[in-house]
Amino acid sequence: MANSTNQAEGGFFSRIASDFTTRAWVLIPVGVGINFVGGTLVTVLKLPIFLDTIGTILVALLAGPWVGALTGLITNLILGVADPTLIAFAPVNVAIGLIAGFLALNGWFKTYPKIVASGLIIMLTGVILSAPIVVLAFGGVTGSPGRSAMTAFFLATGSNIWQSVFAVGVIVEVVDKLISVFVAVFVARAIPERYRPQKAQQTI
Amino acid sequence: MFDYRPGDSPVHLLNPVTKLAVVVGLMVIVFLLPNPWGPALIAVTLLGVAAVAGFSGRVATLAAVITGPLLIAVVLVQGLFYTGNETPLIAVGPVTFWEEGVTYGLLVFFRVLVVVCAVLIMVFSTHPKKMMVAFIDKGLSPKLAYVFMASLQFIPDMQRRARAIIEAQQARGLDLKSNLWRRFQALLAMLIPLLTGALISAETRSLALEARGFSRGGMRSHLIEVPDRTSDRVIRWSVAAIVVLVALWRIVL
Repeated sequence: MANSTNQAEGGFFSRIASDFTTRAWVLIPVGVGINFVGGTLVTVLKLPIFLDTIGTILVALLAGPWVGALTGLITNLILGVADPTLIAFAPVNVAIGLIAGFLALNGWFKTYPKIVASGLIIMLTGVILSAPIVVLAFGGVTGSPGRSAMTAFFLATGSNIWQSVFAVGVIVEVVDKLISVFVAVFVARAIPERYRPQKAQQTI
Repeated sequence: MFDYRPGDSPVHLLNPVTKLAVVVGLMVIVFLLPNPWGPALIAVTLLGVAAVAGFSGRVATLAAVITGPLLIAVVLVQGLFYTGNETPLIAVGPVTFWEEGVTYGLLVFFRVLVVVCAVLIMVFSTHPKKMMVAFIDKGLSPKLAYVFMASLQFIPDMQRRARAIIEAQQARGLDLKSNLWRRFQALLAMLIPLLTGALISAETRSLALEARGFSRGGMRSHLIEVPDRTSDRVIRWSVAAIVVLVALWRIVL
């Protein structure tokens, strides 16, 4: 990303490269780790959410969209070691990092109504991007029997495969994403000033 | 690390870039093939490759666990609701399963099975460090290789911290079984120390990396060598040629 041959392209790549300070690089494994640990925590607490993108959103808030996107990508690649089907959803995690980061830089995480809006936008991004993957690569189903049953229900009542997958996606993800963005903001705000990365001053 | 199984087989000795090329090539090929039997054949061949490498049992079990639920779900859903359904296959009471849908479901299943097996074979036969060195040799930025390895190594660390924080908070009176609102507060009470602790260690880590020339550009030498043999190049070009041939065949037919 800081390759000298890209300098000729002018501001765009060097702006992305400037996001990647050593502090940012070190933050990425933290974000990946939190994406993994989020699942453990919600299981222990028996909460009805996944929290599988909380790390991506947090890193996007603290270090910007491109660092967040890379966190998402690496998370899915590592998840793919245990379950290769999850590699297919890497673009979704990347997009969530990008959208969360850009929303954050434009102040969409500063007030509660805007946070709700951000959560909905992130949820829609996730659902819209994962729908083609689910329909074209996986025939409309995921490994989860609950979701497949819901998809079958929508299909049986007359929707086509795209509408069904989209509807199930929204139902399943809306609560998770709304809660994830609020948790991300509260956690980011609670970091002591001394350790709060620079970008966070802009975003929260 | 993670899922690597050491060994000496030809599969283990292949350059990781070659293995990645084969995985990607197979992915493209199975999504170009129009009916289930091609991918099914490829899946069986992959199991044979896994046997040569010495972990066919593990690959078969893991692939079954990962793709089993998908097989059932997709054959059921597509068998019932596929838009091209014309020929009835089985009728169970009021419900009919159609041939086109079941065939499509099987196609999806075998495609996913091939990709899953290919990735598992690659993961089991390649040490992550060798994979990173091979990719860096081909031009991957060492910083990207660093974050991937660091993330792999950091996850168990994070999980240990999380367990410690869960127990520490419980010792301070955190109730894991109270009402929903309290449990959400508990989530914050655990994530905040987790993140702050990780950020503090991240601070130290970034200083350590800087002291070792992390942000400096230029050539880096490696502790381990990963050879790229002629056989690797032959395999990569063959895969590319097969992909092109299959693509042409699909376009022409």
